[in-house]
Amino acid sequence: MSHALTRRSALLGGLGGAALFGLAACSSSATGSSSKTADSGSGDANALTITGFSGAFADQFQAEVIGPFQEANSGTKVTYTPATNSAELLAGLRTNTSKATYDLVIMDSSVSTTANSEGLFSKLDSSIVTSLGDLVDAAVIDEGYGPAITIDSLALIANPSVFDTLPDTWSALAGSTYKGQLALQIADTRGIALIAGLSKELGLDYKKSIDEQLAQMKKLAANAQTFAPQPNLYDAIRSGSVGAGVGWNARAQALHDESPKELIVQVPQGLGVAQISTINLVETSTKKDLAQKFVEFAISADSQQRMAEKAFYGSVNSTVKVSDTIDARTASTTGLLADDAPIDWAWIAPNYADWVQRIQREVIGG
Amino acid sequence: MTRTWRPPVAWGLLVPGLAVLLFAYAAPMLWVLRMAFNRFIGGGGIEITFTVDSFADVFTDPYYLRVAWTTVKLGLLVSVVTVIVAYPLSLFLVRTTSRFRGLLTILAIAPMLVSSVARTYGWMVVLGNQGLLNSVLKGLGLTDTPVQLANQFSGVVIALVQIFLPYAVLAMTSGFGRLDDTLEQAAASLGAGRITRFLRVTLPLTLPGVLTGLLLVFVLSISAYVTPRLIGGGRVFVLASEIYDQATNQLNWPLAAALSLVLVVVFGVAVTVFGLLQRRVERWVSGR
Repeated sequence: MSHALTRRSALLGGLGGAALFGLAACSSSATGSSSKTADSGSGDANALTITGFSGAFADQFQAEVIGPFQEANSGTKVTYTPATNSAELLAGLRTNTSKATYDLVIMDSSVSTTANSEGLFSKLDSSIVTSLGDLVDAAVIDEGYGPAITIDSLALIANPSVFDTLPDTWSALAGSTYKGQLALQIADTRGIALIAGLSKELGLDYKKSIDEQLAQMKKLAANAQTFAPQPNLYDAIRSGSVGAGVGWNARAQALHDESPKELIVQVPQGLGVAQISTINLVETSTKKDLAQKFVEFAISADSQQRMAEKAFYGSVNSTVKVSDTIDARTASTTGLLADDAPIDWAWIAPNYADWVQRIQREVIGG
Repeated sequence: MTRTWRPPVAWGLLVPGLAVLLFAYAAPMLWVLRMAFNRFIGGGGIEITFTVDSFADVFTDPYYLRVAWTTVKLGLLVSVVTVIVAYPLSLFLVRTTSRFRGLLTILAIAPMLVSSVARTYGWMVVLGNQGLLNSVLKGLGLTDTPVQLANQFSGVVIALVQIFLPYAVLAMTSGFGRLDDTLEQAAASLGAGRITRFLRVTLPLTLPGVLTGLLLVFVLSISAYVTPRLIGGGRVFVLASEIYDQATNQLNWPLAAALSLVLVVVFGVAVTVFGLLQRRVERWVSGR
């Protein structure tokens, strides 16, 4: 008896296998798409999906803004999906231009200006987002488009068991005291902000050239133990595996309150660099009214006050009044950024990739 | 009698595999190929066109050539060290007549059950300034200042060798099929000492397995992303991490695509070179 398959049975078997594979692929694709678009694309008109930064910001934003919004709007369900970084969000928006995965996107202002110019975000309706008129100047990025939702500043951070005080300038990190003790995660927005900070300190204009700033940054880099602290800058400093670094003020302030013996933070006087995150309405969102209602809630005085007091973000709403103590610890125009000229993120946006590349090559790789 | 025709049977059985390859490999690769010919414009924008700008960047910019060289160097170093470490272990597993042979084999490949991310974090704990290794060295009075292994190229090599060791063991044990005790016994009966027996009999017979192990670990090493990223401290630039940075941080998708194709070419060259070597070795071993 021959065990060889007939042509017919083999082809049938093969086609059957292919059909099974196809079914499995369709089924998994369907599952994937339904879970991804359950948000914006779902029939639930009261469901809103937002994406933005991960980590501490996500926790604070959900506690201080999303939670209260859902309480104030019973029946509304807001889902927050954390993303790795703004660039990843922009990439996601570009690949989903026909159907919105998210209704609102929170990202760096340097990236949102690009998304605005590509038509990925919509302008806001000032009759719904009435607080647009109360914004501080720095919070208006592209007229009519998503405004700033938080203002932060670049800051010096250290573990007090390694360094009990922090210097007054960015350049001081080049001192021999810091040899092998620094965590400099600078191949991203932090590096761009540090260029701006060094420009202020050295009296240079980053719009003309960044050569000298990079040369100075290279001196700091000589003291770096790592350019990619793990699991993140703040925990690496808290654990003492690195002594100091350059990070964001708001998160560091919150962590300082959590464990003052493990982390101290300081923005060099007059050398702060504002980092602005914007909240943006996705062009293809099917729930634009509800999304704008959320934007209004997020930039309202109440929400901004909570974000300032609990999470140490500078308020984008000019009507917010916080205590002097909080003001002195947040990146507000009356607090940490009082004497600082604003950084022009819209101008930097088209240069962002080139600058990061130069940092990678001339500072880290050099 | 039922008429049989074998070639179409084989083709029919290939259909599911081909379908998977077509949808999961060929289509994305074509998309990457097309993307590589687009033009990157500032601010993350992409102009849909047909230009070789990205390839020109890759092949004329010393930085990318350096990254490519670092990647190949890492692959060569890791694969050679891994195979040297895995060789005696594989030889033992193939030769042992112990009833625990199965258990020993499982133990050798058990690390594969733990994610490489977890193992990488484990190595960070071991190699860090305040890690196990430095604590032991300090405790023994061998050093005052921490030995810098984490956040360095050397740390990446150490971690990758351990991570890919089970793969090398698996590839080599399955490639040691030609090993025949009677040949070594014959050599011994003819007066060959241990070293001569190893160099003239054992090593040549195990070379095909060694080459398979080398190829497998080399390919895995040059495409490694997590370990160079986490243990390299941001200063070890390899093609995989460069592709990620270009795609997600700098949003230069055409360049990321061009670099991806370079990596595919490196794969292709490696497979071809190892294939040729394997054929030569086979011919040499079989005396043809």
